[in-house]
Amino acid sequence: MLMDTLIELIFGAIQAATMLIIAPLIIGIIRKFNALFQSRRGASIIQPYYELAKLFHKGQVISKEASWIFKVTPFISMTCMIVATAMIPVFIDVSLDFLGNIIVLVYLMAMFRFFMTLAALDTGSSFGGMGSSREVMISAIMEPTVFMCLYAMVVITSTTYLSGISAGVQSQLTNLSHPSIYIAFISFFIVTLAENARYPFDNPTTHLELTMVHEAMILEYSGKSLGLMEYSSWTKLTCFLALLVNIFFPWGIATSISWSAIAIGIASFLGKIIALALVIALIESSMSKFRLFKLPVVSWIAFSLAFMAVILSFL
Amino acid sequence: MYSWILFAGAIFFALAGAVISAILDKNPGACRKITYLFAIIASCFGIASAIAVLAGDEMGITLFATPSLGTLTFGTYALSMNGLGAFFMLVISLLVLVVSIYSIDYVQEYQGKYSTGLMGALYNLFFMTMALVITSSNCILFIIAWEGMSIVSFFLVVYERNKKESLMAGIVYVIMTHIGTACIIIAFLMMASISGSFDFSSFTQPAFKAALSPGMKDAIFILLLVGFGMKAGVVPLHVWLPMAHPQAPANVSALMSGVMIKTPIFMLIQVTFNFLGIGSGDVWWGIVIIIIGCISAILGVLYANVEQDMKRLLAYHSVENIGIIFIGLGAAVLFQALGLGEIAALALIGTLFHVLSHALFKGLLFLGAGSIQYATHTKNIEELGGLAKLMPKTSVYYFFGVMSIIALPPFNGFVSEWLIFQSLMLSVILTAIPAIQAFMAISIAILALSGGLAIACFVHTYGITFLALPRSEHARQAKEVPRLMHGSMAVLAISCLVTGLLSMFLISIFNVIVAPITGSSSIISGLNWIFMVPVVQNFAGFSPLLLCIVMLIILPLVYGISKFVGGKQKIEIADTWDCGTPINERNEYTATAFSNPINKVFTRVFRNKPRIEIIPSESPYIFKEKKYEANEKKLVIEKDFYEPLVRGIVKISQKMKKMQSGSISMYLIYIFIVLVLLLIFLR
Repeated sequence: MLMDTLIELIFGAIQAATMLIIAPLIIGIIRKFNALFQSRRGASIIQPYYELAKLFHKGQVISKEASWIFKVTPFISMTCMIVATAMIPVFIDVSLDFLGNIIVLVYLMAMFRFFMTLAALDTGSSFGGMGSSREVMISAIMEPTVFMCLYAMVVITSTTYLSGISAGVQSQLTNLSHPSIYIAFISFFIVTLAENARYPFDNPTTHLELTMVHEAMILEYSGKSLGLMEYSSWTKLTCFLALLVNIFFPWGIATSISWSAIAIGIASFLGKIIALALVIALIESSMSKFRLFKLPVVSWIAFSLAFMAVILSFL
Repeated sequence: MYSWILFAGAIFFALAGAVISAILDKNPGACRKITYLFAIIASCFGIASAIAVLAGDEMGITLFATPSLGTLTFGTYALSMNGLGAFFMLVISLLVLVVSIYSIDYVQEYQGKYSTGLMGALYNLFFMTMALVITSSNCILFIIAWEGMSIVSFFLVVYERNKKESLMAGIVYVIMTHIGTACIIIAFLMMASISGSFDFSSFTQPAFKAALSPGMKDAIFILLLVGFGMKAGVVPLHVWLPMAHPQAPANVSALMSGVMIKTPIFMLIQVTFNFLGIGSGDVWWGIVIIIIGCISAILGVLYANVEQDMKRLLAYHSVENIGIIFIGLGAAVLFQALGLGEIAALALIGTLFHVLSHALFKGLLFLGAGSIQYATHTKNIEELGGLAKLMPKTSVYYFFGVMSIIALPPFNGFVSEWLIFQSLMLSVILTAIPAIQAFMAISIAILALSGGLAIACFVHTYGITFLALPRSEHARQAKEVPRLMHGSMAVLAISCLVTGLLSMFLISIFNVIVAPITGSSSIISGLNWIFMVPVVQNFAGFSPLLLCIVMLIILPLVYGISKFVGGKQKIEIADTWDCGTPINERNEYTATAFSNPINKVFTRVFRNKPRIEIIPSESPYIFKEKKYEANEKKLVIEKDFYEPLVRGIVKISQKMKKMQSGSISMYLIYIFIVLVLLLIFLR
């Protein structure tokens, strides 16, 4: 028991560190792919690191209307995301299970969102209110889908631990032919786009008040706080991508503690993540943002898929 | 051994407090201190008696035995408390204790406007009747206590009797609660006619269960579900709740929402598990309860989202949380019927835990709403704002309540919802019936949706009330409330966190309480006190304490690293960017605007067609004026269920009016006809 916990702790820390290190890289890769699709050269894939470094070396302006919520939010957001990264298996099917299962993870993400949306309201700016109001609507209607996608996998593997689901799908190769995995994956991919302010839900680069959601919320942040907010949002995207690859298709994930297995684990993880980044970039370059009130339709589609996955998983 | 003395002490002090409060009415200053002091003592006795019972000293007091009439006996008027009763007694007494401390300062708000002696007397009686409802073990005594509770709370609802809304709310409340009581009385009469006694103890006998035909059992269940559901405020029987709770003074709303609407939950558990007994044919009971719970959870939180009255918003959240409690209870009944005692026990533990959590956080939130009203004299959140700076303590404690109600780990609201989620998810492993598995999946989705919407709702409530700039003169002049008010809120805020962190300890107590009810205890293995591993190994686990510790380690690390990286940088305090204009309350985001996306997405629930009226002018092409009304609130239940119902009743009564001709000879003929009919059919 204690030994297991120790191993979980060590690998949880290593995997959390891995995720935190590669989070800006993934953003860089998505941006690079985007640029290539749009026939631009684009910035280097390590540009997000420079951005973070720049933000941390800048002074910040805090609104005089802001209360303590605005000031603590960057730290709490980052904390939530660090704990979340430790709970997700990355290259080995071990993670900090003793903290909790998927429900805890989903609610940790909710905590991040809760603080961010409150901080957006804190400065009294209408932009913040607008972004926050849209964000809570989108995430509320996506919440059942999140649960259904994960529940489909719970049904298949008979466990609610993230590492257990990874290991379960990995060990039972027959499960990979299970249709509900694929359906739930598509649905969870839509969730990933919605939760991380990507197309068609939000435009991550916009600063037009009619359309922005995520950017509107962090508009008042600057300097180090903005750096932390950006970094935690990037980490969140990485978490969702890691969930996508390691919950639904944990091919190549290490099931034993050996250098070769871990090397394969890391390589396959990066490979799959880059493939997903390509898909995201493809979507972003080939379609436009939806109208806000068209989004419930997308969420219905995602929910129907997820629910179908759950029903199929009973069979 | 001593538990009954402690309980008698609680009743005595509450009664004495009520009498003294009425006597001291002329001297409000002394009245408010002495009255609530008595309530505090009474609730301490209540807590002590509950703890004594939980420690193994079951309580039973026989007041007096009544003579029997023929085959039917009225039984003995007795008060008894088992483990389950002790738990509810504990929750009630704890909340009364804290709320009484709060009330000492809070009732100053009413001093000089209304009689504080009356409120004090009713407040003490309210506690007493709730304690009696939990302990009565005879149908007739129970009905007396139940009615007493309803009537006392009715008077508290209409306490501000000069306000028209209060009276309206009071009337709706008293009518609906009596319809509920009528159902309960019918059900009890049916049960007593079978068992031959009005004693609750006669219902727990195997002979009673054997004599109960399945049809009869179902009929009794439905009647009691309607009767108790009315008081619990489940959709569609909830309409009184959002009217009555906001009208009562905040300390009373805290008790009504926090504990009064839990007494029917206690009775439902008693009735389904202990009296009627759950057999294998009663799977549909669980399904009905879960469906009711799901509908309440969703509609409650949706209605709360578009509400601008702070207390009514919280009342709608009570509907939502009662829904969640019903989902847990329904799951317990369902699993018990399927013979899966272990998850039934787990679901019941989740239910009881949510009863506790909801009492703590909803009590806290209502007290917070009371404090805001005390400081600003308004409960319309559109007029508030910026209170985080003006009332820093209240804002922090309220925030604890918010984190708890929206179920953020590691607060108690999360632990209880987590337990209910687990019991629903475990159905997939332990049952092999696809229909039930699919049904459970839908309930999981609905529970998740209500969770997401609750976050949306509380971002709007907390953000608009406490953050940004004050939106009115009321809010600008707010001051921190007196010490006892924020002090008692602090107690509840801390207990919201502590009950979450130490949930393992509480669960081990709940395990003992539910074991005799479900016949099996849910094995929660793992390292005790730290991990929670319900029923099946390797399925689920959670450790609120470790999660909290990990977060508390990482938080200062994040803070330290972000201070260190990049060195010390200048922090400037400046205006919020508002496109170059100075920011003021006119260009802030409003609560209505904030909830509008949800309002629009769930248009079918709110039935809100925006009304656009074009006012004609001379030219047919140029419209000078347009009237636009966005939020004509017509909630789905009110519009599609109650409006036709009321119209129908009015129509029938108008038809009946023709019979009432006013001439005595006609009435004599009616009496004669009825007499003849009775003689023919009921010889």
